[in-house]
Amino acid sequence: MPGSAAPLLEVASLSKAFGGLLAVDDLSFTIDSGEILGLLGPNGSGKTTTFGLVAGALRPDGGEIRFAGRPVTRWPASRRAALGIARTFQLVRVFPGLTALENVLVACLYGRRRVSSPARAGADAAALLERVGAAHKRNTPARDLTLGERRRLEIARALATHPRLLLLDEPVAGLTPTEVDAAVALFRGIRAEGVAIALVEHNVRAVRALCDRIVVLHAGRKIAQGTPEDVFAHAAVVEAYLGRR
Amino acid sequence: MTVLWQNVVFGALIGGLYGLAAVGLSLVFGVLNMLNVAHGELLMLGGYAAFWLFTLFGVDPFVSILPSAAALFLVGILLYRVLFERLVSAPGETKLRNSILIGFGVSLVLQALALIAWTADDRAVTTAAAGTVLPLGGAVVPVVRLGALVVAFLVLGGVHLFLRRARFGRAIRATADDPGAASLVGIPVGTVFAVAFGLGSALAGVAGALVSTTDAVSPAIGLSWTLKALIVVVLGGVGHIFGTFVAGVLLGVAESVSGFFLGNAYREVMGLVLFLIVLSVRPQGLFARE
Repeated sequence: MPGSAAPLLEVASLSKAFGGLLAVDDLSFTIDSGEILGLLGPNGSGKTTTFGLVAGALRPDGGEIRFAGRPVTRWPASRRAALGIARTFQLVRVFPGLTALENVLVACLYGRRRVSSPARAGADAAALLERVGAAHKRNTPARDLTLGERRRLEIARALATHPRLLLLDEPVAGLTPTEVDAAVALFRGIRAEGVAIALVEHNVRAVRALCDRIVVLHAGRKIAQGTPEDVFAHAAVVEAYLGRR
Repeated sequence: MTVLWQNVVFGALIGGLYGLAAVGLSLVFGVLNMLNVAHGELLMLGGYAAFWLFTLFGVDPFVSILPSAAALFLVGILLYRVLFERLVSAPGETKLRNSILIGFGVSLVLQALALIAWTADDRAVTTAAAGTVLPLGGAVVPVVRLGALVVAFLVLGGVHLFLRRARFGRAIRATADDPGAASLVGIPVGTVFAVAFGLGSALAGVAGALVSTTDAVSPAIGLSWTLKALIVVVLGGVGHIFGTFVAGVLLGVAESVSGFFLGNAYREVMGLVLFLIVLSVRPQGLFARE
């Protein structure tokens, strides 16, 4: 919970370069259990790279990542996932050939706290689909779902692994206003269960509605942090760094 | 007319085995993005397994399917762990190209080993049922060939159910779709790759045992089976088990009918012509959706 001894995720002096470009430059931040942290900044400011580093898809050139008290900096993605870091992708990555239910089912069967009884796993998967509002599409192959449905399916699949930290990369991009509201309600519900969320998002309405704290990145460096009110009060931040879509 | 019909029937019967051989190749390709061109040699090993079990212990090849599949499953896992696994993290095109090179090496080694161990003689299994035929609209259907077709169909049905319904089958399909995302939801991707390779090899083992009942087995048969399997995979489209089976039957019939009209020398040509036509008109395969 916020305020307790050690933060859930602790990122210290993280750096990553691609060729000569410093994508992430000496970045430090923390996330507590049950907290929603927004990562903001214009395109190319290092938000998705930061996610890749935290999830384990990328290796940092310098710095430390601690999760749940463990140094995970050199752990592969699968091992971090097993410890409770789940992510969704900017370009949705569901299993296109599996039905919506099967997408969630494999995560229930193989994820953290794996369920060995097929009946239990099936019921859990159906409940998660219901929760993200995709129950009516359970037998549809994921490739035939709309973008919004695939985004929600990806979130249901991530939840099926019982994460302690959920990394959401532009989860409401391309959604209708109604769908955005539903997604905001969903993320609040997830947080209410004690799951921490890190959110990369350009949609200011969603960010204001959700985030407890915001870290603003520019060219890989942290240029501001604080509550949404503080950060959005910085006229410069709003003007220069909230790359709108 | 009767002779033509007889050709169609024979073509369909042999085509079922083409389909079975192709599904094994297609499974490995679909999950790992590797083309195992030694697939035909694995089929050859399955054929020898059935031949020796029959010759030494009198085991019917239809029974030998099980030990042959089990043995080839282990051979497949071994080949994967020792040779192919190192390619897993290579980028797509490099992976495909290098898997073909490794496969060619494996096929040469297996052929040479088979030649040393069992000589170049053609081997065939002649069971008590070998001469039995059933009439079918003026043509005759050898019971053994019909049995091979039925078994091939049942085995593919079993593979289909396994991939659709079983826990591990779903993990295989998820890994085929996106290995990175699969590993993030906790699927042991390394194990899935090994098992998929083993399963593809086991299907070659089944096909080999069935081939031993109807055709000759010798160290040199591998390449022609690999080619047929490749053609059928292209015809049917990757990842469509029954489409692949139907494409196998189609190829068998096309070969047999063109042999009838153009002479036997043109049998193989027909397959390659079909291959080229489908590649240029429907490169995704006859039964693929996109």
